[in-house]
Amino acid sequence: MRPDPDPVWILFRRRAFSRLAYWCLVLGYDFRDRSLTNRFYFVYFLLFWLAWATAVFALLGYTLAGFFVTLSLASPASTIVLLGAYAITAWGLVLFFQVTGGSPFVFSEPDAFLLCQAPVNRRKVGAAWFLMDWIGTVLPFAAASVMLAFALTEASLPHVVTILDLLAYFAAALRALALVLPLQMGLQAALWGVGAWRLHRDHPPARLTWLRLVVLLLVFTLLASIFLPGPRYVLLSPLTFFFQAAFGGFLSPSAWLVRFGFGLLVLALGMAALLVWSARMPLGRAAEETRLQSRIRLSRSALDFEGAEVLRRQSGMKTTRPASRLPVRVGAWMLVWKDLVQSGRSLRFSQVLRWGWVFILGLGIFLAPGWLVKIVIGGVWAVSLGTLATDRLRSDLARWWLLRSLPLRTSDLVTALLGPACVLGLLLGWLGLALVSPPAPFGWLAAVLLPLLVVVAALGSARDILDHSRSRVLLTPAQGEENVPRQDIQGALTVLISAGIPLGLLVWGSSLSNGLFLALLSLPIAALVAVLLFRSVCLIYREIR
Amino acid sequence: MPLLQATALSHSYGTFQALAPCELSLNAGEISVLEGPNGSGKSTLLLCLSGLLRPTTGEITVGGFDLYSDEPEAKRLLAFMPDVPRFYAELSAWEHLRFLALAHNAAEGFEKRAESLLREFDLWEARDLLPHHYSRGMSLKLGLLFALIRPFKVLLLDEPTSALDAYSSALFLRRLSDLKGQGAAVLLSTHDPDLKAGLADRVYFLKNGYLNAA
Repeated sequence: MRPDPDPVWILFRRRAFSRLAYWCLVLGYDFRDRSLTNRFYFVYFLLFWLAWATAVFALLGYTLAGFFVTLSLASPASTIVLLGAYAITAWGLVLFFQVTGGSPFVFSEPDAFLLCQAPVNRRKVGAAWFLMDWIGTVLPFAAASVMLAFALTEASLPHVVTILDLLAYFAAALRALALVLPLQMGLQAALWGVGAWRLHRDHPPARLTWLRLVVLLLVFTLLASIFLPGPRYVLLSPLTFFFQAAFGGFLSPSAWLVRFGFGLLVLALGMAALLVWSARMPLGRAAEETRLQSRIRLSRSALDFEGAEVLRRQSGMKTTRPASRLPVRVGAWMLVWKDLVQSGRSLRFSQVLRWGWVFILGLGIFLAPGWLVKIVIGGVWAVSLGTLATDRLRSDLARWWLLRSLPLRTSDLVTALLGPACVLGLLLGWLGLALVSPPAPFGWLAAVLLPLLVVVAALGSARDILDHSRSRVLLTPAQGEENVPRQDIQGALTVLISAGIPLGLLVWGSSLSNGLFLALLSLPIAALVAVLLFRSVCLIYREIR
Repeated sequence: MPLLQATALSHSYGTFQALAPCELSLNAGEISVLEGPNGSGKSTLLLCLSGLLRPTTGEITVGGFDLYSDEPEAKRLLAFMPDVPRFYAELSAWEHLRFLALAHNAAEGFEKRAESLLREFDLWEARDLLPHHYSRGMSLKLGLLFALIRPFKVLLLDEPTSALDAYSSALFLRRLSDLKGQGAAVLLSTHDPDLKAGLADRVYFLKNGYLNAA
């Protein structure tokens, strides 16, 4: 009689296979087709991708070898050994803080209900989940190792590379992979073991706090060691020991084998740590910690990046919020109040960067040489600003049942929705102007024109979004703003033309010796475009079907 | 004069007619129940009446104001709660109520009113909670509070008791009776026979997009 199949093993096998089948399908091979021709095709498929990968890595290696020459590195191998040791240390430190902050074992909703409640072998769960994650994590390490090995081979060959050198390339790649992969896997397994150990207790124990402090100290020491060769040598020597065998100069076969053996030892120790610490792992707690994370992964795998971003934002937000103390005013002002409260609570570094980009583009309009370049930069500035200024509009359109229920005049509503972002864009623009201080009278003209340009950019973008919005789509349940259209090429063109004409007149006028009239003409044109766009936006909003 | 009057109202999704031309009126102090099988057009009708979905044909007036040409005036008198309310992720329940009450110019006595409603619907302890932590039942109750926090004459509800517990359902029914007594016109869609039996002054039946008074 055959023994009962292990549920963890079945899950692991099916998930690993389905992931493999998915990627093979993406790359052009369908596992479901079991015909003989498809089996022949499989051989071709493997050879094709092997040749493709070799060509790509050879190209990347060639480029990198060129960099070695440009940078005049005395010994590219020792530089790579050092950088590799720093890179894997940095990765390990990030992973350490991740696994001690939340469970590395991510369980989906079905896992939480079915697997985590069952009396399955925790060790097997730990090993299976680790292996499933490792397959994805190891790819960048493997790719970087092959690329670096190819680059070093390329740099070391005394003659023009021929097809016969392919063997040397493969040997170098294998030599690197044989060291880097066990080392990376062992380190990751050990760190996941720490993550499993943390899960044993309800609250992080004092030992964990001490461990974090020690690691933090290590981080600072490593940062300081960048400038101090002595401590650097001591701190990184356990890692450079392996990287020298992977990428360093010539080592005798026996010396290389010894280091390879140590690499396997690291792997064995890491796996042992994982298996020991995951033996009593509370799966329920791990599932509770990672349910949201699994939803984020699911959204990403379905290419729903916006939904994933919303979930990520939610996971970063607090559970409760005491009532905001911002002063309130009745009517459309409440939309401004809401915008300020929302912006304050969901502020992210990426948003700051986006506004910083708009600011830099604003500076670029005045600093760039030649009026044509200025206009091109101005166009990019207007499109970027328009996209940013309509973020709140899109978020509110996603809550159509609330937005459309408000008893507000459309003009007030549009003003309140776009106003705060326009004010911020304007202030940044004026700050840029103050920093650049272009010569009068064009500087003053630019300062007067700027509010109109900001409004035109925001309205042009809003017009496009509203024009593509449909009530029934806005009313469909959605995670984020995926049911709200984004500004498309048509919208970008509207913004470019609407803002580009007055901006072009100003820039062109300022480049001519008697161009004041042209520059002045930009003001009424911008005002006219702003009024027309505003009316159009209000009309389109009212008529959304 | 009815508080809400729809004439020759119809809606099509492309070539598919979800709602055939129909007449409907809601009178003050009356509760009307809309029933029909899944996909019969109940939600479409409610969305059209609430002004969220523009009808293909027809006119809707609320308190004598046209829902589209006199939108702010009509919306002041109209409240709607969908079957799946969606909230702002960054605002707590209390802040949502404040936002809506003040946007409807109903600032006077807001704090007292909000506290009383939140306590009544057992959401007071969760007033500072961000809404993505709410259960479906809590979300429905909060959606209902959005309507009750400000004055209105017509209330439209899409399957309001579908996820409510027995206590909240009873509370909801009592509230509807109060609203009826205060002269509001209510139209709600439901699959709950008890709700229909206990409350309805008038029943509408929708099938394949055709509306009939039962």
